[in-house]
Amino acid sequence: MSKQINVALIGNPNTGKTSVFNALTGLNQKVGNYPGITVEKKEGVCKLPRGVKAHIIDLPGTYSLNASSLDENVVIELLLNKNDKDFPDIAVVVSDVENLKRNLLLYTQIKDLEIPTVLVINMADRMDYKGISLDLEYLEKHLKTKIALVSTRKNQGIERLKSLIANYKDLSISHCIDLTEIDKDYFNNLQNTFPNQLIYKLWLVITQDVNFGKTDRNEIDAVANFKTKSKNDLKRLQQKETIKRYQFINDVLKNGQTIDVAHAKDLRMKIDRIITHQFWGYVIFFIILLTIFQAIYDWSSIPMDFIDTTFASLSEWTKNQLPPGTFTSLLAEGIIPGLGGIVIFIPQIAFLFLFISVLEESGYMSRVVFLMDRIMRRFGLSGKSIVPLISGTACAIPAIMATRNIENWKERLITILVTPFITCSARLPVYLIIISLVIPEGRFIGLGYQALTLMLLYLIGFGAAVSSAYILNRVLKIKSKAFFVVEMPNYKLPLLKNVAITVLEKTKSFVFGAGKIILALSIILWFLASFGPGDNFKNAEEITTKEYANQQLSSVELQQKIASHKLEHSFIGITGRAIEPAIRPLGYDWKIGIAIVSSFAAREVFVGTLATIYSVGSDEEDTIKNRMAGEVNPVLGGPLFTFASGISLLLFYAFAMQCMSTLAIVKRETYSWKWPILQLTIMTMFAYIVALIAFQLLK
Amino acid sequence: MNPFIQNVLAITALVFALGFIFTKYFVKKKSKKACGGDKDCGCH
Repeated sequence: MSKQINVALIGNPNTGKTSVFNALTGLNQKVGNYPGITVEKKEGVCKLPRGVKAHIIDLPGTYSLNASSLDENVVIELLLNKNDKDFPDIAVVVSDVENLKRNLLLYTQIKDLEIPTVLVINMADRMDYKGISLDLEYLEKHLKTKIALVSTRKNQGIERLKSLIANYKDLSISHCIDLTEIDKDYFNNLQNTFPNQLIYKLWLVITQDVNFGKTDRNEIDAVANFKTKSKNDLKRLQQKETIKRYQFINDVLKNGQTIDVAHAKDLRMKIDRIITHQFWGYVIFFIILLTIFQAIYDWSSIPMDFIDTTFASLSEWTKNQLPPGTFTSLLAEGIIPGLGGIVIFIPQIAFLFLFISVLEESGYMSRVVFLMDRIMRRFGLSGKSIVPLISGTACAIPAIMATRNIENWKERLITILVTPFITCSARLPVYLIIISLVIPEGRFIGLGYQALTLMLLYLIGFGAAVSSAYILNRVLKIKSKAFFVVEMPNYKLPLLKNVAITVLEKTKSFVFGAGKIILALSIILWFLASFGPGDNFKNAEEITTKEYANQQLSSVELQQKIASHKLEHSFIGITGRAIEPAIRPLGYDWKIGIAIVSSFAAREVFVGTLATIYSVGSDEEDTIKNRMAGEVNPVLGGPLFTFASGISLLLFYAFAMQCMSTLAIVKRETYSWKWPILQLTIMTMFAYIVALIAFQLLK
Repeated sequence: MNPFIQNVLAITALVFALGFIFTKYFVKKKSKKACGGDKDCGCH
């Protein structure tokens, strides 16, 4: 009877695993199911030299052994259970030559399970087009295995792979990383408690809750003197493990793999050479940015005007149709104007995400990351920081969470600290309304001043982020930099469906995320603006009528004076006037002060707050923009929103840390209140000083 | 709608608004996420 060996074919999705399977088995496979699981696996037989037969099991694609889905769990359960009839004598890890770094993570994990492993580097025919060269001898030595360079399209390397499988007993089973280097005490204790078990298997069981043999996590807990760590501690150790693995992979690839862009022959590489060119790359990016900001303004002006007038009419209609009373006033003066302050920005937000989505879908965004890497290095950060910074244009919260892929702690900390400078979508409503009030509508070489100002604010945010990163880098002194590898996806025409879903989801989260806060704050602010303590508020009508008795005011003018007096002596007015001395040097009045304080909940609240405050007591149907434009500076006279106060406000919002949720996420990611408090203090002080200088110079 | 109902509705809206803001910013939520099965837990 000829000998049969079990071969597990494992790899990331889309590495050409099935092609290797077909090449080995000659399409002689049968399809079977794992009991109770709907995930499919393929099995086949391959004839090897010396009459040996290989039972090939093509397992579902997985990115790592840290399972997050059922199909990934299938792989782990097989690899951890030696009693399984399919337990492999040898694992064949299939990788794609274009994505070696990502693919090798899984390889290092399987290698640490002490299973004889062969590495297949597939799609070798693409190497020449991509300008990739590999030092196979070096890679084999440092990855502690044998490598088969395979091209299933050209049927190359399959015979060597068969030969390596047949001689699997010659393969080294030494580890890629030493777990005790991650946490010496914990892993030594674990090993001492279970001296006969493989430490990496134990670790996978603990972290994945996957049973193997007769030991499971509960039993591990039950053994005297050994307690598994808390979930948070386990997560941290897992993160450290992943970082350690990537450090190992980076070190190996640094010398084992060379990517020479100059020798790249295919069309994609030719386009890349222009788009990522060290001069033209930035010019193209700059032109794209200009086009986006101009289009945001040009395309959204009509729908924005429509929304603005609709909400003003709705407010007026509510007031006229419902019987007068507290609730009617709350609806007409609080809730509707407050909501109008967010809905009005839907067109611009939607267009912004439309462009971002198209850039991402087409593959261009990865090239931007590559371009920015060059700039980041000059400021002491690696390109890994650019991914969170670019994500920050949508929202700082996911961006800060995205810093988790930065191995170096100090570099990660700096990225976390500077990300809130990047212009997020929450700043957009503030910028748009202020720009529309203080920047003229003229054009320069076809580009509107307003669009240019908006783009300038984005650049200022990016400039502030990289400059502060440079300073922090000097202060905190990063010794080792993370090695940056970016995967360049193929160019493709964006799918309309994907773009539409992204735009819809992002706009929905903008409206409903901030919308709920704005709705709640509008209600609270309306109460604070409509009621007040003492006689000054109670007898507002009498006091105002007396005060203007000698002046010939029309009844409308008198009503306005009464409303203004009431607002000034309401709860919100008293609070606002208390903080007014601190913000008056910046060119703001107490109403802007209240809007700044309330927008600490979310920056978008700024416009809604002003819309609510300006609506209280007003009987006229008017748009938010017109109400803001009509505000008079109580000290200097003339419009409140001038070029000087507008620029001051724009710069204040560009630099201030006006987001409670971001502070909470910084605390969570840095495990301390020290950093968010420091971040809040420094950013607010800086914003205040810059806004002060701007107003004093421009007024 | 008489003034009493108007006042009740307005006060109810205020209570809901205050409750929402309080729970959003001042009540610590229990994490529903567990390591090993959630894409957002930070280890996958």
